[in-house]
Amino acid sequence: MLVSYKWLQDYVDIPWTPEELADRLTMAGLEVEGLKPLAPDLDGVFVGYVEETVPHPEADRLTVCTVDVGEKGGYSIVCGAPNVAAGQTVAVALPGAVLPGGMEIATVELRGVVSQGMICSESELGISEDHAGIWVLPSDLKVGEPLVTALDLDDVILDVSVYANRPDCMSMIGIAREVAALTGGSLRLPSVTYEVLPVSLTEKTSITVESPELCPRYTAALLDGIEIGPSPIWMQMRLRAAGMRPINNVVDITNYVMLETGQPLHAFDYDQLAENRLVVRTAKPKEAIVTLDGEKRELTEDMLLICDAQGPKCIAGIMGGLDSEVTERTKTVLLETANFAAWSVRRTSRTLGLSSESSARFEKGIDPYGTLFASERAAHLLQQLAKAEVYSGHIDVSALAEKDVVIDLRLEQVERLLGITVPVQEIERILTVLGFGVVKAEETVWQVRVPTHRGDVELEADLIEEIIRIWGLDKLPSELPADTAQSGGQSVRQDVMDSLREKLMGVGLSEALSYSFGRADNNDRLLRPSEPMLQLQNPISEDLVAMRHSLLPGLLNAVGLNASRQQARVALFELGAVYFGELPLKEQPREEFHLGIVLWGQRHPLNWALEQAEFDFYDLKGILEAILPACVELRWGKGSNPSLHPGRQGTVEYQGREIAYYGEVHPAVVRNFRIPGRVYAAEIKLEDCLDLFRTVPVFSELPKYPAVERDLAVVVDEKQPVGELISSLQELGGELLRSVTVFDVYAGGSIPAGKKSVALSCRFQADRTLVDEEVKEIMDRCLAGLESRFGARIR
Amino acid sequence: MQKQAAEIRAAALEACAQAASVQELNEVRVKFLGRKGQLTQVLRGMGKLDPEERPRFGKLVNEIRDEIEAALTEREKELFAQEEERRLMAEELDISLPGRKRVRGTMHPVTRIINETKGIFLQMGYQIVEGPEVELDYYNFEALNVPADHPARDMQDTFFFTGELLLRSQTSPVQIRVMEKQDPPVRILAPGKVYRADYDVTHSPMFHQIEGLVVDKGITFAHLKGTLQLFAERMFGSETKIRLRPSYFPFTEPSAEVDVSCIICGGSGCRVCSDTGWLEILGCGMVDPRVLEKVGYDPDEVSGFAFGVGVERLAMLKYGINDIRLLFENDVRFLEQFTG
Repeated sequence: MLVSYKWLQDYVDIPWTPEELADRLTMAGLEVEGLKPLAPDLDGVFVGYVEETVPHPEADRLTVCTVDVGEKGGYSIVCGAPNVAAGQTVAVALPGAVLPGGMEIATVELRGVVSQGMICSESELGISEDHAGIWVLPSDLKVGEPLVTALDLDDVILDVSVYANRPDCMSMIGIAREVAALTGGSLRLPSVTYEVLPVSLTEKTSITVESPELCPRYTAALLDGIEIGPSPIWMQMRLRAAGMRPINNVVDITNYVMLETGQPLHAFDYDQLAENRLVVRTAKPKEAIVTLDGEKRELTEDMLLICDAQGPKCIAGIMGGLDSEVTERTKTVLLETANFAAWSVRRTSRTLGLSSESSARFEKGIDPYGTLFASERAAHLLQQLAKAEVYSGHIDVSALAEKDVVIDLRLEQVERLLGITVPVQEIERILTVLGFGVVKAEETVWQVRVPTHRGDVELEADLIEEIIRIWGLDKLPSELPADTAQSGGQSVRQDVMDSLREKLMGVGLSEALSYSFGRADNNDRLLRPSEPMLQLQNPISEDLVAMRHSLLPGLLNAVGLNASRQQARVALFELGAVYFGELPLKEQPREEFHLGIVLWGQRHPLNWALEQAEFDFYDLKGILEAILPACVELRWGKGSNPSLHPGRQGTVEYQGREIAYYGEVHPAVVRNFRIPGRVYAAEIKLEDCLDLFRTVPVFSELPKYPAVERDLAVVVDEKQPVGELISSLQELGGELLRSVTVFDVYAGGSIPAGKKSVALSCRFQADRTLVDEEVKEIMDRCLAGLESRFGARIR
Repeated sequence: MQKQAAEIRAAALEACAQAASVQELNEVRVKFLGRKGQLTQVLRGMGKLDPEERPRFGKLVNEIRDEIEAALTEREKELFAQEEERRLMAEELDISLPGRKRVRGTMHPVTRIINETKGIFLQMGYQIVEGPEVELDYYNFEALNVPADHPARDMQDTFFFTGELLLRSQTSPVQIRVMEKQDPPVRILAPGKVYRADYDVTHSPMFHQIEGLVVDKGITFAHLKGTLQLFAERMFGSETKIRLRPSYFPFTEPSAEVDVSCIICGGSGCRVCSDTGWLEILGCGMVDPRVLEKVGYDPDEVSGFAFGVGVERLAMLKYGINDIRLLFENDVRFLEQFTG
């Protein structure tokens, strides 16, 4: 809501500067988001009168004007605007003036004719964007007066942000009421008096409300003998200040009264209404209307319309129809001040994608008892400014039940909720000036009657908010609640995620965060069976539509982005939820937390002391080995995940369940995500193995006797999994063989084709000193076993 | 013979001093003290002396031997030190080269803010809780005093799956889920992802909030202010001030927005705070009695406060990030800045 500092003073005295006022309003819950002068500095610009115009002797498009600038004298000004004419009152910038655009006005010669200034357009003065021609001012302005004084431009506009629960503050009077509460002053309401004709409007028109649930109140007035013309300049300037365009006196008055009272008004051209009457009803099938903006609107049957005897004339509370608008020929006006159900206006406005100053107010729910006051105020102004003759009375169709909201306010409750004592007289003063009826019921209990414009106030807590809002939140002390017996803590999953994050950072991975929704074809892009994902009804983009089944797409997107930005190394992890639900979705889907890992590019950052090599499968497996607890039995098996390279992938099982898959990403998937080179990725289903990460390590006694180490190199078939050699050795070696470590795998050179050499280090340990013979015996047994099981030959 | 011994002594000490390496020194030792060495030879010739003179001469030769030994040892130490010095100098490294790079990964700035906040409130006895991201309309709106067609629904552009199921637009539904299951006292902090259909420099369709809720007997607005004052000081430094401005949320009454004194200029006014000296960081209020009633609490018996913090907003302020979209792009040059 744009609020003019000067206009506001019609309704309340303001002892503060605009800046102080803005600060006070903000601290009372009406946030002032901006503060700007109504017009730029216009020193040197005056009201002038064009006495005479003659064509420029040398240029077709220029006119030489003789302009009277009152006490400043007469000036000869060359003007290029097509609309300049003798008899106009205009804004004249005299030599020495500097216009908002930076243009300096001086006496110049234009094609041989001296020009002593400039006749200005609205845009040249910074008043509006309009630069079609010069700004023709009303003729009643005093010639020679500075323009700023003549137009009352010396004003400041406050941009007030009004919360959804305060439609009453979408009006000058509403804001003024708040100001009065803050200053301790009182509110002045504008005049609503006018003369009436001896004829009742009921003889001339009728209103039928067929949908009272959507239109709780419809108030109509009828005004005749109207002289359409421009509204006075002060009203035009106020409308502009509020961000609206002046049209003509009737339309301007309806807008002005809406800005003043918060009650939207609509003026129908009485003579354009079939049978001169109105019907308030919902739309019929396939009904349509051409609205004021020239657009044809298809209507649906839940939309409320104001119709004449034939068809729709207005979409209730939103916008009028083109064919019943007030024009230059209008003589008689049927004036609507109605109340429409907020939800209905809101829904229609959303459906049509059409909003207006009117709908913005209705959809928040305005005071249903405000229709009469606004109607009378408009009639007053129409009589003053458009010579209207007002038929006596109103038609006032009301379905409103008399509702008196009275709330008990307990002093003790004020203190209990706020933790501070507010003086009793302040409580009474604040509520009274905001329009509440305050009656003391007991020593510390009031009965508070809520005014009809404050539909948002329903409970004692709402009253307490009013009190502290005006009294000042800055008066609250800072205290802490008393300690409770409980200590802080978090869930197992949160603990696990926190510790995993530390481990992953420790092995050189950085944390990524991707959107939980992605492309609907992400399963296809991962070569997975196309299980449908949950899809948003109203996505903001096709790339952000389906709830993810896997963390891989987000991480692969990150690789693609970094690759395209010339990064050499991507090592990322993400901890987050994936979403699975039965479609069509009837209940909340399962949200499972996963850990995703992705590796791409260089293993190490470029460094003189580090070998430059690309990440490979074993980097990924090493990371998994590092972050999964070593003290727990896990089964590392082969995998068959369609997103991964068929020969380069594995799974991890815990307690018979697959908790992770990992490997090189399938080249087709890599291409789908537009990534150059090879990518390695893993995904762990944390939900299935939280207890795994909580396993407590158990200490085993350090050996007291020296260990014996024996190295072993065997040649086996190239395809022979080394893991099988190790487990065989462990089995054959018995309990004295404590560990087997692979330290070299080699093919080529002296090794026959199709074979590889595997070097293993075996460590023996006992609770006594081992003798060479027994170790040799075990090693022989192991070798024989490897030979018979795998055809291994010793090198 | 004494003279000969004295000459050997002089020659040995001279040779010892002249020896330029441990090798040469060993030769000196052999030459003078070895089995066939000069001093040994002299000692062997002792038989030619008078028997009375022999002990004296023997003592003299032994003294000379000890002296030469000492000189050799001394010289050996010197030479060793010199040689080591030479070797170490030859081993000098170019310490201006960078070290062998160890990569430690970084924590996402959003997680950093969440963890920092969790730490502050864990100390105050808060339980960290979570709730579902795909929520029922009831928990996201109805139970929070936002019925269908309520204008407050326009404050948040919500993503829907069906009429009833949506992506939560705030972490506030966690309040309801906790209160439904638990009797007061309640003291919780609920960080998590939330979603709104909005996308520009300061809005992301997915972002994070941290919800706080305290319900107990005698909880006041002053407690809320004190709690948030403490939070602001821990998060932004002990000089930080807060300011409460009245606001509107359907599920709190009274409601307030909380500003902190600008962390860039300290309150004197700058570009970041648009010259106001203040930065808005969160919304809060006293839990609306209707919300308490909905979960079966008696608003005349207990009262509570709630607050909701936008994590990205805090991260952007704290780390000076100028575009929220950077947070979800995963450019490693961005992520890897958040070290330490």
